[in-house]
Amino acid sequence: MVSVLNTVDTGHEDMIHDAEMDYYGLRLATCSSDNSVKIFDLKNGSQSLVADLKGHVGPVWQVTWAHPKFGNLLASCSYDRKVIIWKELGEWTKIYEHNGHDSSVNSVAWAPHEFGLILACGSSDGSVSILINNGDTWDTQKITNAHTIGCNAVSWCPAIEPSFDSSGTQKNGPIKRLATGGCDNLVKIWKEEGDRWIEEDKLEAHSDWVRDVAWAPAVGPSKAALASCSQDRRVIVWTSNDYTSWTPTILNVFDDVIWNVSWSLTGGILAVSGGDNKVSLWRENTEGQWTCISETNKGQGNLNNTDQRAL
Amino acid sequence: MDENDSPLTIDIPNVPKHLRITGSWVNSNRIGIYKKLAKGSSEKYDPTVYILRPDIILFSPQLRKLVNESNGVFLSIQKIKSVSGDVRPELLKHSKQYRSILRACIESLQDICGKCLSDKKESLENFLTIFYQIECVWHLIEILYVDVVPGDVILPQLLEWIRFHFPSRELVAVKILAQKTIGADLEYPNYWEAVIGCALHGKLDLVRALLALHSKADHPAFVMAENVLKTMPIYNVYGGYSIDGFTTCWKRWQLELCSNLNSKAFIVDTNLEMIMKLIAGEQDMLWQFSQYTDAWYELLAAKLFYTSPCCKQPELSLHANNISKRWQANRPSDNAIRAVMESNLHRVIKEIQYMGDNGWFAAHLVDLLYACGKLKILDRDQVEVSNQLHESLILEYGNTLMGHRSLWQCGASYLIHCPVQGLARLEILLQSLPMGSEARVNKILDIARDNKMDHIVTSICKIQGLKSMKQGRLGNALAWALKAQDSGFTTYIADQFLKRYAEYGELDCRDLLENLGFCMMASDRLTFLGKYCEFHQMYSIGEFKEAASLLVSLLVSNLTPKYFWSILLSDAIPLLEAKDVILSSSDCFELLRCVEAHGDDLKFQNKIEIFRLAVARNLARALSLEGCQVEH
Amino acid sequence: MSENVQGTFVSEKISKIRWKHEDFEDATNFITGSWDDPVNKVTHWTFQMNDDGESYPAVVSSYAILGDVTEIKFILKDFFVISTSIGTVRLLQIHENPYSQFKEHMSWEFIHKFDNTNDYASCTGLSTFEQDIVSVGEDGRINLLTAGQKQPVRSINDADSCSMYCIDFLRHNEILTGNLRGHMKVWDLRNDQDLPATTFMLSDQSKTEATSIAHHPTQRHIVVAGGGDGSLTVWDLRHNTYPMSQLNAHAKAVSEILFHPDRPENLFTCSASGELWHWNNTQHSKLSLDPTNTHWLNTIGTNGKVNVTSLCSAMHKPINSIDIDRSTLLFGCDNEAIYVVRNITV
Repeated sequence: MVSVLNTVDTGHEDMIHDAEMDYYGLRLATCSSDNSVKIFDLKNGSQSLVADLKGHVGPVWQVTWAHPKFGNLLASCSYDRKVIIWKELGEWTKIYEHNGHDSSVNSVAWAPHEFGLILACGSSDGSVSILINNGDTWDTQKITNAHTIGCNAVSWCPAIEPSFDSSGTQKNGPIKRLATGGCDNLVKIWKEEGDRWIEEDKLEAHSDWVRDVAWAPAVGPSKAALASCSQDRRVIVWTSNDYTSWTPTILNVFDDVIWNVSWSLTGGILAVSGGDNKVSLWRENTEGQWTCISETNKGQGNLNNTDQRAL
Repeated sequence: MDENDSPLTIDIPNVPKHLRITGSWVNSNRIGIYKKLAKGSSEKYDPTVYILRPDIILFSPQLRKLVNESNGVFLSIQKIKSVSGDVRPELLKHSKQYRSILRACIESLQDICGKCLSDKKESLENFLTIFYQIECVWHLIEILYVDVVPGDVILPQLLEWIRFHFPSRELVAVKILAQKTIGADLEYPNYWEAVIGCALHGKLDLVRALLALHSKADHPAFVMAENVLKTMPIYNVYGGYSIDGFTTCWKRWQLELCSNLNSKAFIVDTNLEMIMKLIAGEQDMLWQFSQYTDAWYELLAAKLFYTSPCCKQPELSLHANNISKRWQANRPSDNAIRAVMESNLHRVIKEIQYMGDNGWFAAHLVDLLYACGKLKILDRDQVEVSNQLHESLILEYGNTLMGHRSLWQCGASYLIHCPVQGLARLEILLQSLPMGSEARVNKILDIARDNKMDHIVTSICKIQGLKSMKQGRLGNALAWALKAQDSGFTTYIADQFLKRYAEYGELDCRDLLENLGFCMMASDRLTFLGKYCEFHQMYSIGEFKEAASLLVSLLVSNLTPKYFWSILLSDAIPLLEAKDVILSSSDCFELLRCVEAHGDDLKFQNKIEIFRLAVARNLARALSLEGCQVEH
Repeated sequence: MSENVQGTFVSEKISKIRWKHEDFEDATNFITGSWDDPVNKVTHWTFQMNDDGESYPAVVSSYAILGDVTEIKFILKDFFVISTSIGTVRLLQIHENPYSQFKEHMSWEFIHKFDNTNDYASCTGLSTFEQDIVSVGEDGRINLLTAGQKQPVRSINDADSCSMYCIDFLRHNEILTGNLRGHMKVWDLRNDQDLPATTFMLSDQSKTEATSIAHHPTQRHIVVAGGGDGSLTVWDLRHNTYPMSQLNAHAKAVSEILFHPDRPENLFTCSASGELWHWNNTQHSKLSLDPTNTHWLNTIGTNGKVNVTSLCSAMHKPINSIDIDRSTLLFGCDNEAIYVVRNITV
């Protein structure tokens, strides 16, 4: 059985585009076409508005929380071409504004905390920028023309010890990798070398715009895995043992466009949301097959007691 | 997963057709969050976000006892695994412990169920059903996989299993017998039901005792029945017979009974005759009596008892299949029991995951079988996947518990025993635990330290430090930074102390700074802060000589932050102007060198002349004093 | 588990367990406090006989508590004080009429808090001396309370710049506190200045937190403190603040230290490592009255004259609290169970 734990009336005056919980599942950040970002405290099933952040002048597409060891930090990106980094310093305040894109910024993602405070931003101008915090200042790296027509999604590879990463050439710690998805129907893998980002791989399998990419959390010495979804109604899980050759597995072809893929905290379960008004959960069984374990849908009540199965 | 599985469906309230919903994982385990977007701009938006969570029955107070107590048994089994030698007897003991925990859980549920109101009753009854089934399946698996059955003849254990889980008719029989009423069949309407129930369970002593209370007990038919029952051969591995010898003997007895039946010896009472037909092994009679059984395996036990008393485990499968098919049994526990009898563990594990116990059964059972060396699971390509399956079930269970506010310690102890993915998962989940009081944080840290997750310790301590800073407790923040052994963070906090001093002229948290001990070495900035604090301490108690030498050593140390030079130099002025000469000529040269190098700070401009003058005067006094000392 | 240990699973992690001592007979009732659930409980237990003639703990009544219960101390036969992780101290009574329940006599709300953010701070410990109650918290504050008065008698707001973890009333005018850094401070309550009379260290080598303090029942100047690293340190505060003895005892933090109230040559300690130890010096019991200043605790660790025995096989979760009445010991554990250990030889 699944039940609704919280129902949060955000009070946004237009549609919500993203809602993300912080590391502890205690706070919710939402963003909307009403240009605002809101933060809620969720305690014991109740909610209270902590902050209503105004700074964007266009619809805000995405919000993302930084690891708590950097303090309470939130990044947001918007149609107004801006990326804003907010921090709780007594009050929530804008601590940095990034104006390095020529078009709507569609996606933001914090790097694994082991790398420090680093943010990747993907934009409709086709470029990806990487903001690196150096105490009070932010340095910028840029991947120009990452995806022609536009980049829709960015996702960081988990920090993995080099011993596992056979292709690792850098001796000092894990390598930074980024996956991006764009309007050129491609998923690309980028790798940092020195202070440059080079295209390590180009994954071709989708036949329409790639809407979202999500790198699976690394748990145990398993292979690297990446999920992507597209306008072509397909969700693909890509796996690799060496980051050079990638094997695509088509998880499913859905009835409608798939907008969003999201991995559970410890991996294993992928949530897929699409234009068909459904959110489905998928997991890989011990035999390597992807199966749907539950489906969220309108109008069909009545639950049974089954939860998840390993087989 | 099976083809016939229909996906679990959750209804989100008020989602009109034209709206689009999106789901993403909340970072703490297994909570899905669903938000909605309006499709066209013409549609009205909905500003609601729903956060969903699977309902975990194990989190209910009645079942937390089971969760915690079984955790103890699980951990004890992990210790046995590392012991060499025959561990089967030990494991059997643990299997029985699991069952006694289940029994205790069922009994306490029954207890509460009897006292509570109807709205709660339903869920309690649901729990009861689940755990009754689990207990029953566990017991059978224990017999067939964990216990060693002497001679491999399983019927005695099967009968015991059946009698344990379906005690109701035997209880009726005992009640009737206790009254010792002659003519019990007239007195008790359920008399025959009790006799039949006992006969089905192979409780022949009870059957005989009941028949003896029948109103026609003296009738020759009843006397003959008594004789038949008394002489029925029962196989006993220690009975001195070989199986063949027993079978011959039993067949002879059965033949005699059949001829008695053919000669209508029991016709005086229909029920008696039917029972004798059952005892003679007539299939049709077995099915006629199925109305007196609650489960197909009750019937199976009866069938074996009267037709195949020396049945060994491999033959069980066929019998089980025949009976369960005809019975049309289809509950998860039915399927699981059939699979157990078919020795199809793969199937068993599949089935028990449908029981709605959030994986408790599957995780603990598979772990026990794994420890027994009985878990051999092959995938469709005939590759053995037992290790993966074992780990995945325990991971899932541990993961589930980690999602509870209080049961996380229990959950962690499962993840720790998953060699492949356990620690990586634990690492992620530990970090996602909400912090709370320092007592709780210290317990989270203990688990991280136990598993050598140094970076998690560092990260959690740092988060605590940041929280303390936000609360304006710089001293406590420093204490956590030192715990974290994070020199960068320590430097940052030491800087905050120095900057506050630069601004307000007061050193905070003297009680802490004066007692840093060797921890002062954690970072250069902290060393500077600690020494500077010592300087103040010395100065305030009038140890000017000591204070001055500390100050000079700080000046030459190269540890001074840029913004602090003007303060250090200013601090020298009163010492230079002291009545006694405290600073030597070489100290003065050092001071002059420092003021040349660092005296350009704007904040020091109005003091620089005084400083130079003071140094000059002190130098003169020092030189003349040192000159005198040389002369003497 | 040995035969004299009886466990009862209670569906909540137990942070504190305390006997309700009787004057001339064995105690039969006790109180537990729980932690880490959204709503926790203080529960009153007694012993009942089951069908097999075994005595087992049964709930008499419970009282819901917001936050974790961090300490329970009896001040009178029926009256006890509890502290919580949301900065509250309450005075409760086990009320028997007309039916058994708790009655709240006083509640000091929000007396531990962070002034900057106005958040509550955990009250980490309290100690009592007759009607006087003194509490410490993560806010580094000491509150002096008295049972009959709603307002704190005195608050020392900046008593410590770090979180304080433990406190002990040494004499009517003297308290000892321990903090996150292992700083031990003696406070003379007659002194109006908000400064400690003395400060000393739990351990010079490792800067570990002080997690618990206990004083000898008859010689109150003999003090034992436990550390976050499982160490035990003994002082004779009459002489100096240099420890009389110091030893590495448990594998993890010492949760509680307990002198047997009637037979102080017996000391009990429990730990986050799941260990429960009995320190016994019966053959040297006369030493405790010896004027030559060699208290038996002085010699623990240096020679073999003290017996240390485990009272049960190690628990796989932290043991948080212990209490003893005559020969019956209770302990509470993070495995959501309470245990009764009977027939301890003291």
